[in-house]
Amino acid sequence: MDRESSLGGRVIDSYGGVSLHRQSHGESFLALMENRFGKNGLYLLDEPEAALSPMRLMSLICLIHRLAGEGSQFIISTHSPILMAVPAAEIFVLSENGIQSTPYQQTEHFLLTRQFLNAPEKMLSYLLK
Amino acid sequence: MVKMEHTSVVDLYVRGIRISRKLPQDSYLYRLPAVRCLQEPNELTLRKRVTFFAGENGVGKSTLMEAIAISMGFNPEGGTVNFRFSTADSHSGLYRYLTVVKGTLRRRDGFFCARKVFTIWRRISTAWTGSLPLAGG
Repeated sequence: MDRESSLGGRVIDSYGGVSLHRQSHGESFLALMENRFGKNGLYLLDEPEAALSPMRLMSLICLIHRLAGEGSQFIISTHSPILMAVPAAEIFVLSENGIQSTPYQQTEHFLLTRQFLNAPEKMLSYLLK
Repeated sequence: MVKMEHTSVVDLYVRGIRISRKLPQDSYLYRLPAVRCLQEPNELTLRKRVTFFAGENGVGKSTLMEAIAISMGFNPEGGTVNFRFSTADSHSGLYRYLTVVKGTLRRRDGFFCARKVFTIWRRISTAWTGSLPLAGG
């Protein structure tokens, strides 16, 4: 596993001789998708971020983007502000008001996460006071 | 330069979803605004190769995902049409009311990962490596 590769490259290029049993959940899940998913497929993923670190989520973005360019369709439910950054995607926000198509940078996920990461101490002191 | 747009969107496998039978007013599905709003004549049209559903827990994301999966012939427990393992017949029944507007092309491949799947992932990876040439070594 090419675990520490730079963000620009593919994090996983192959199984590298490691059986799925010996890999962590996140590794084996990504390995399954890398090896099992192909072009012209329909893939439905319900909150796939649970098993994946931020690094692996970025690898998943690469995979989804590549396969979408090869005729595959993805429908994904997610809470992840990283995953939903997949280019050329449409985000539907489900709420008490129904369903709203929302640009990535206007989602609550993006805005809140950015606000938090920009100033964690400030956010925490507000939350915990 | 990243190519941001994929080619035409006429060849989607799932082009839209709508609820084509009246939801019973006493059902919990009817009380989910994000589900109820799909009632005909409304329809959610999918326009992109990648669609995300976001929103708080309890708004109906998983219910919707599961109903789409069943309507497209997947096992609601997750997996391909052929790969099945059953825990319980626990799906919500929304699929009985849902119409999926399908594209004209037939998909070559497909996979549904239910949320439950991620929590019992080790079991799945065992099933996969046992039945398919997936592992590298």
